[in-house]
Amino acid sequence: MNSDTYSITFLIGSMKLFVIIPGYNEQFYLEQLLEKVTKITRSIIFVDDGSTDKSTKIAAKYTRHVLSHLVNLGKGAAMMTGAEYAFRVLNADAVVFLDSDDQHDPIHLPEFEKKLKKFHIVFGVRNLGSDMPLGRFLGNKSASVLLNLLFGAYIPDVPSGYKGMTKKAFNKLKWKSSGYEVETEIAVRVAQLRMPFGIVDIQSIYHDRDKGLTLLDGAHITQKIIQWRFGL
Amino acid sequence: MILLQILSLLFGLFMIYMARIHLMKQHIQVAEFYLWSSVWLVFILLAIFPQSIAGFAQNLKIARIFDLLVIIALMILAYLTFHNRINYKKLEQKLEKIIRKHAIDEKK
Repeated sequence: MNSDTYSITFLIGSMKLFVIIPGYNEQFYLEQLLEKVTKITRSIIFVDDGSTDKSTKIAAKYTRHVLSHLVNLGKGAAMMTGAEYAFRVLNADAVVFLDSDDQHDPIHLPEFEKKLKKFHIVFGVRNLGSDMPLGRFLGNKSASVLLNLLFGAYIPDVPSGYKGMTKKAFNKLKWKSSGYEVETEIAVRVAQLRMPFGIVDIQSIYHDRDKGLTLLDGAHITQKIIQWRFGL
Repeated sequence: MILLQILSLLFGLFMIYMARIHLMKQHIQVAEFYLWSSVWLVFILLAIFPQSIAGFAQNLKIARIFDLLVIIALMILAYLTFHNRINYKKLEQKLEKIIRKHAIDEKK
Protein backbone atom coordinates (compact mmCIF):
# COMPACT_ATOMS: atom_id res chain seq x y z
CA MET A 1 0.00 0.00 0.00
CA ASN A 2 1.54 3.32 -0.99
CA SER A 3 1.29 6.51 1.02
CA ASP A 4 -1.50 7.87 -1.20
CA THR A 5 -3.72 4.88 -0.62
CA TYR A 6 -2.98 4.91 3.09
CA SER A 7 -3.89 8.53 3.56
CA ILE A 8 -7.10 8.09 1.55
CA THR A 9 -8.15 5.02 3.49
CA PHE A 10 -7.34 6.76 6.72
CA LEU A 11 -9.13 9.91 5.75
CA ILE A 12 -12.19 8.90 3.87
CA GLY A 13 -12.94 5.27 4.33
CA SER A 14 -13.43 3.22 1.21
CA MET A 15 -13.50 6.07 -1.30
CA LYS A 16 -10.35 6.77 -3.25
CA LEU A 17 -10.36 10.52 -3.48
CA PHE A 18 -7.83 12.94 -4.93
CA VAL A 19 -7.58 16.67 -4.55
CA ILE A 20 -6.90 18.36 -7.89
CA ILE A 21 -5.28 21.78 -7.88
CA PRO A 22 -4.99 23.46 -11.28
CA GLY A 23 -2.58 26.36 -11.18
CA TYR A 24 -0.97 28.98 -13.34
CA ASN A 25 1.81 31.18 -11.94
CA GLU A 26 0.62 30.83 -8.34
CA GLN A 27 3.96 30.73 -6.52
CA PHE A 28 2.85 33.30 -3.94
CA TYR A 29 -0.02 31.29 -2.44
CA LEU A 30 0.57 27.72 -3.60
CA GLU A 31 2.94 26.76 -0.77
CA GLN A 32 0.62 27.88 2.01
CA LEU A 33 -2.29 26.09 0.33
CA LEU A 34 -0.33 22.85 -0.05
CA GLU A 35 0.81 23.07 3.58
CA LYS A 36 -2.82 23.13 4.64
CA VAL A 37 -3.95 20.40 2.24
CA THR A 38 -1.19 17.99 3.26
CA LYS A 39 -2.37 18.22 6.85
CA ILE A 40 -5.57 16.55 5.65
CA THR A 41 -4.49 14.36 2.73
CA ARG A 42 -1.43 13.64 0.62
CA SER A 43 -3.52 12.56 -2.34
CA ILE A 44 -2.91 15.69 -4.32
CA ILE A 45 -2.66 16.23 -8.05
CA PHE A 46 -1.21 19.55 -9.11
CA VAL A 47 -1.73 20.52 -12.74
CA ASP A 48 0.66 23.22 -13.77
CA ASP A 49 -0.94 25.06 -16.65
CA GLY A 50 2.23 26.29 -18.35
CA SER A 51 3.52 28.41 -15.47
CA THR A 52 6.70 30.40 -15.92
CA ASP A 53 7.29 30.85 -12.16
CA LYS A 54 8.25 28.35 -9.43
CA SER A 55 4.80 26.75 -9.09
CA THR A 56 5.92 23.33 -10.36
CA LYS A 57 8.94 23.20 -8.05
CA ILE A 58 6.83 24.19 -5.06
CA ALA A 59 4.17 21.57 -5.86
CA ALA A 60 6.78 18.85 -6.36
CA LYS A 61 7.79 19.23 -2.69
CA TYR A 62 4.31 18.17 -1.60
CA THR A 63 3.18 15.61 -4.18
CA ARG A 64 4.61 13.32 -6.79
CA HIS A 65 1.55 13.85 -8.97
CA VAL A 66 2.60 17.03 -10.73
CA LEU A 67 1.38 17.29 -14.31
CA SER A 68 2.70 20.03 -16.57
CA HIS A 69 1.07 21.59 -19.59
CA LEU A 70 3.66 22.69 -22.14
CA VAL A 71 1.73 25.91 -22.72
CA ASN A 72 -1.02 27.72 -20.88
CA LEU A 73 -4.40 26.29 -21.92
CA GLY A 74 -6.70 27.62 -19.25
CA LYS A 75 -8.34 26.48 -16.03
CA GLY A 76 -10.92 24.20 -17.66
CA ALA A 77 -8.26 22.34 -19.62
CA ALA A 78 -6.08 21.95 -16.51
CA MET A 79 -9.05 20.60 -14.53
CA MET A 80 -9.76 18.11 -17.31
CA THR A 81 -6.12 16.94 -17.35
CA GLY A 82 -6.19 16.44 -13.58
CA ALA A 83 -9.51 14.59 -13.70
CA GLU A 84 -8.47 12.31 -16.57
CA TYR A 85 -5.25 11.47 -14.73
CA ALA A 86 -7.10 10.81 -11.47
CA PHE A 87 -9.84 8.65 -12.96
CA ARG A 88 -7.96 6.86 -15.74
CA VAL A 89 -4.44 6.48 -14.35
CA LEU A 90 -4.94 6.53 -10.57
CA ASN A 91 -8.39 4.88 -10.63
CA ALA A 92 -9.85 7.45 -8.31
CA ASP A 93 -13.48 7.18 -7.20
CA ALA A 94 -13.89 10.91 -6.77
CA VAL A 95 -12.01 14.17 -6.97
CA VAL A 96 -12.27 17.55 -5.31
CA PHE A 97 -11.05 20.64 -7.12
CA LEU A 98 -9.37 23.43 -5.21
CA ASP A 99 -8.20 26.78 -6.56
CA SER A 100 -4.44 27.26 -6.30
CA ASP A 101 -4.64 30.83 -5.02
CA ASP A 102 -5.38 29.68 -1.45
CA GLN A 103 -8.94 31.04 -1.61
CA HIS A 104 -10.38 27.78 -0.39
CA ASP A 105 -9.85 26.28 3.01
CA PRO A 106 -9.01 22.55 2.75
CA ILE A 107 -10.60 22.07 6.17
CA HIS A 108 -13.87 21.41 4.30
CA LEU A 109 -12.44 18.39 2.43
CA PRO A 110 -13.89 15.77 4.81
CA GLU A 111 -17.34 17.37 4.36
CA PHE A 112 -16.94 17.01 0.60
CA GLU A 113 -16.03 13.37 1.04
CA LYS A 114 -19.09 12.78 3.19
CA LYS A 115 -21.39 14.47 0.66
CA LEU A 116 -19.77 12.65 -2.29
CA LYS A 117 -21.06 9.41 -0.83
CA LYS A 118 -24.60 10.73 -1.27
CA PHE A 119 -24.30 12.92 -4.36
CA HIS A 120 -22.26 12.56 -7.54
CA ILE A 121 -21.51 16.25 -7.59
CA VAL A 122 -20.94 18.58 -4.65
CA PHE A 123 -20.58 22.35 -4.89
CA GLY A 124 -18.62 24.42 -2.41
CA VAL A 125 -20.78 27.46 -1.72
CA ARG A 126 -19.27 30.60 -0.28
CA ASN A 127 -21.15 32.43 2.38
CA LEU A 128 -22.41 35.16 0.09
CA GLY A 129 -22.48 38.58 1.63
CA SER A 130 -19.96 38.11 4.42
CA ASP A 131 -16.35 38.70 3.33
CA MET A 132 -17.22 38.69 -0.34
CA PRO A 133 -16.73 41.98 -2.17
CA LEU A 134 -20.05 43.48 -3.35
CA GLY A 135 -19.16 43.20 -7.06
CA ARG A 136 -18.55 39.47 -6.77
CA PHE A 137 -21.65 38.99 -4.66
CA LEU A 138 -23.80 40.63 -7.34
CA GLY A 139 -22.02 38.77 -10.16
CA ASN A 140 -22.50 35.41 -8.43
CA LYS A 141 -26.17 36.06 -7.70
CA SER A 142 -26.79 37.18 -11.29
CA ALA A 143 -25.20 34.01 -12.64
CA SER A 144 -27.39 31.82 -10.40
CA VAL A 145 -30.55 33.74 -11.34
CA LEU A 146 -29.73 33.62 -15.07
CA LEU A 147 -29.05 29.89 -14.85
CA ASN A 148 -32.33 29.37 -13.03
CA LEU A 149 -34.21 31.35 -15.68
CA LEU A 150 -32.61 29.57 -18.63
CA PHE A 151 -32.14 26.05 -17.28
CA GLY A 152 -34.68 25.79 -14.46
CA ALA A 153 -32.28 24.91 -11.66
CA TYR A 154 -30.93 27.19 -8.97
CA ILE A 155 -27.26 26.53 -8.30
CA PRO A 156 -25.78 28.87 -5.71
CA ASP A 157 -22.31 30.38 -6.17
CA VAL A 158 -21.78 29.24 -9.76
CA PRO A 159 -18.20 30.60 -10.14
CA SER A 160 -16.87 28.76 -7.07
CA GLY A 161 -13.96 26.51 -8.00
CA TYR A 162 -14.27 24.38 -4.86
CA LYS A 163 -16.27 21.37 -6.00
CA GLY A 164 -16.19 17.62 -5.89
CA MET A 165 -17.38 14.98 -8.32
CA THR A 166 -17.41 11.23 -8.66
CA LYS A 167 -16.14 9.34 -11.69
CA LYS A 168 -19.73 8.84 -12.82
CA ALA A 169 -20.42 12.58 -12.70
CA PHE A 170 -17.17 13.31 -14.56
CA ASN A 171 -18.12 10.92 -17.35
CA LYS A 172 -21.51 12.61 -17.65
CA LEU A 173 -20.28 16.18 -17.44
CA LYS A 174 -17.17 16.12 -19.69
CA TRP A 175 -16.90 19.91 -20.01
CA LYS A 176 -15.52 21.48 -23.17
CA SER A 177 -14.50 24.87 -21.80
CA SER A 178 -10.77 25.31 -21.53
CA GLY A 179 -10.89 28.64 -19.72
CA TYR A 180 -12.33 30.15 -16.55
CA GLU A 181 -15.89 29.71 -17.84
CA VAL A 182 -15.56 26.02 -16.95
CA GLU A 183 -17.26 26.51 -13.55
CA THR A 184 -20.31 27.93 -15.27
CA GLU A 185 -20.34 25.16 -17.88
CA ILE A 186 -20.27 22.51 -15.14
CA ALA A 187 -23.21 24.23 -13.41
CA VAL A 188 -25.07 24.47 -16.73
CA ARG A 189 -24.55 20.78 -17.47
CA VAL A 190 -25.65 19.79 -13.97
CA ALA A 191 -28.81 21.85 -14.50
CA GLN A 192 -29.41 20.44 -17.99
CA LEU A 193 -28.94 16.84 -16.84
CA ARG A 194 -31.09 17.48 -13.76
CA MET A 195 -28.35 15.95 -11.61
CA PRO A 196 -29.01 16.04 -7.88
CA PHE A 197 -26.18 17.90 -6.18
CA GLY A 198 -24.88 18.40 -2.67
CA ILE A 199 -23.70 21.62 -1.11
CA VAL A 200 -20.90 22.31 1.33
CA ASP A 201 -20.80 25.73 2.95
CA ILE A 202 -17.29 27.05 2.63
CA GLN A 203 -15.40 30.06 3.85
CA SER A 204 -13.39 31.96 1.29
CA ILE A 205 -10.10 33.67 1.94
CA TYR A 206 -9.44 36.81 -0.10
CA HIS A 207 -5.88 37.92 -0.76
CA ASP A 208 -4.39 41.14 -2.11
CA ARG A 209 -3.19 39.41 -5.26
CA ASP A 210 -6.56 37.87 -6.10
CA LYS A 211 -7.01 37.72 -9.86
CA GLY A 212 -10.82 37.53 -9.76
CA LEU A 213 -13.09 38.02 -12.75
CA THR A 214 -13.46 41.33 -14.57
CA LEU A 215 -16.65 42.81 -16.03
CA LEU A 216 -15.44 41.66 -19.44
CA ASP A 217 -15.11 38.10 -18.11
CA GLY A 218 -18.66 38.43 -16.77
CA ALA A 219 -19.90 39.48 -20.20
CA HIS A 220 -18.06 36.54 -21.80
CA ILE A 221 -19.61 34.08 -19.33
CA THR A 222 -23.09 35.54 -19.95
CA GLN A 223 -22.57 35.10 -23.69
CA LYS A 224 -21.48 31.49 -23.10
CA ILE A 225 -24.54 30.74 -20.93
CA ILE A 226 -26.83 31.97 -23.72
CA GLN A 227 -24.84 29.93 -26.27
CA TRP A 228 -25.17 26.76 -24.16
CA ARG A 229 -28.90 27.41 -23.72
CA PHE A 230 -29.35 27.21 -27.46
CA GLY A 231 -26.92 24.32 -27.87
CA LEU A 232 -24.33 26.37 -29.73
CA MET B 1 -12.37 56.64 -63.53
CA ILE B 2 -13.59 57.89 -60.15
CA LEU B 3 -11.53 57.85 -56.95
CA LEU B 4 -13.38 54.82 -55.51
CA GLN B 5 -12.55 52.81 -58.63
CA ILE B 6 -8.87 53.78 -58.40
CA LEU B 7 -8.78 52.78 -54.74
CA SER B 8 -10.51 49.47 -55.54
CA LEU B 9 -8.02 48.80 -58.34
CA LEU B 10 -5.05 49.50 -56.06
CA PHE B 11 -6.55 47.37 -53.26
CA GLY B 12 -7.15 44.48 -55.67
CA LEU B 13 -3.58 44.65 -56.97
CA PHE B 14 -2.24 44.83 -53.43
CA MET B 15 -4.22 41.70 -52.47
CA ILE B 16 -2.86 39.80 -55.50
CA TYR B 17 0.63 40.89 -54.44
CA MET B 18 -0.09 39.60 -50.89
CA ALA B 19 -1.29 36.28 -52.30
CA ARG B 20 1.94 36.03 -54.28
CA ILE B 21 4.09 36.74 -51.21
CA HIS B 22 2.32 33.97 -49.30
CA LEU B 23 2.79 31.65 -52.28
CA MET B 24 6.54 32.40 -52.27
CA LYS B 25 6.70 31.75 -48.52
CA GLN B 26 4.82 28.49 -49.15
CA HIS B 27 2.00 29.49 -46.81
CA ILE B 28 -0.48 28.71 -49.60
CA GLN B 29 -0.36 26.28 -52.50
CA VAL B 30 -0.36 27.17 -56.22
CA ALA B 31 -4.04 26.26 -56.62
CA GLU B 32 -5.01 28.50 -53.72
CA PHE B 33 -2.90 31.31 -55.14
CA TYR B 34 -4.78 31.09 -58.47
CA LEU B 35 -8.10 30.99 -56.64
CA TRP B 36 -7.36 34.18 -54.67
CA SER B 37 -5.82 35.90 -57.69
CA SER B 38 -8.99 35.13 -59.68
CA VAL B 39 -11.17 36.51 -56.89
CA TRP B 40 -9.21 39.78 -56.81
CA LEU B 41 -9.02 39.96 -60.60
CA VAL B 42 -12.82 39.70 -60.80
CA PHE B 43 -13.00 42.35 -58.08
CA ILE B 44 -10.76 44.69 -60.14
CA LEU B 45 -12.74 44.08 -63.34
CA LEU B 46 -16.02 44.76 -61.57
CA ALA B 47 -14.58 47.92 -60.05
CA ILE B 48 -13.48 49.19 -63.49
CA PHE B 49 -16.53 47.96 -65.46
CA PRO B 50 -19.42 47.97 -62.96
CA GLN B 51 -22.00 48.16 -65.74
CA SER B 52 -21.08 44.64 -66.85
CA ILE B 53 -23.26 43.22 -64.04
CA ALA B 54 -25.98 45.87 -64.19
CA GLY B 55 -28.43 43.40 -65.75
CA PHE B 56 -27.74 40.80 -63.07
CA ALA B 57 -28.27 43.40 -60.32
CA GLN B 58 -31.56 44.44 -61.91
CA ASN B 59 -32.77 40.83 -62.02
CA LEU B 60 -32.11 40.61 -58.29
CA LYS B 61 -34.02 43.90 -57.76
CA ILE B 62 -30.89 45.56 -56.40
CA ALA B 63 -30.92 49.23 -57.35
CA ARG B 64 -27.19 49.95 -57.31
CA ILE B 65 -24.32 47.78 -58.53
CA PHE B 66 -22.31 48.89 -55.50
CA ASP B 67 -24.95 47.35 -53.20
CA LEU B 68 -24.67 44.04 -55.06
CA LEU B 69 -20.88 44.07 -54.63
CA VAL B 70 -21.23 44.79 -50.90
CA ILE B 71 -23.71 41.91 -50.52
CA ILE B 72 -21.37 39.51 -52.36
CA ALA B 73 -18.40 40.69 -50.26
CA LEU B 74 -20.35 40.19 -47.03
CA MET B 75 -21.36 36.68 -48.08
CA ILE B 76 -17.74 35.78 -48.82
CA LEU B 77 -16.63 37.29 -45.51
CA ALA B 78 -19.33 35.45 -43.57
CA TYR B 79 -18.28 32.16 -45.16
CA LEU B 80 -14.59 32.77 -44.45
CA THR B 81 -15.27 33.79 -40.83
CA PHE B 82 -17.32 30.65 -40.25
CA HIS B 83 -14.70 28.49 -41.95
CA ASN B 84 -11.92 30.09 -39.87
CA ARG B 85 -13.88 29.62 -36.65
CA ILE B 86 -14.40 25.93 -37.32
CA ASN B 87 -10.73 25.47 -38.17
CA TYR B 88 -9.67 27.43 -35.10
CA LYS B 89 -11.90 25.28 -32.85
CA LYS B 90 -10.53 22.08 -34.39
CA LEU B 91 -6.95 23.23 -33.90
CA GLU B 92 -7.65 24.29 -30.33
CA GLN B 93 -9.09 20.86 -29.51
CA LYS B 94 -6.18 19.05 -31.16
CA LEU B 95 -3.65 21.18 -29.30
CA GLU B 96 -5.41 20.60 -26.00
CA LYS B 97 -5.47 16.84 -26.56
CA ILE B 98 -1.77 16.72 -27.44
CA ILE B 99 -0.74 18.82 -24.44
CA ARG B 100 -2.92 16.76 -22.08
CA LYS B 101 -1.59 13.48 -23.46
CA HIS B 102 1.97 14.73 -23.05
CA ALA B 103 1.33 15.84 -19.45
CA ILE B 104 -0.28 12.52 -18.45
CA ASP B 105 2.18 10.30 -20.37
CA GLU B 106 5.08 11.99 -18.63
CA LYS B 107 3.71 10.88 -15.25
CA LYS B 108 2.89 7.29 -16.19
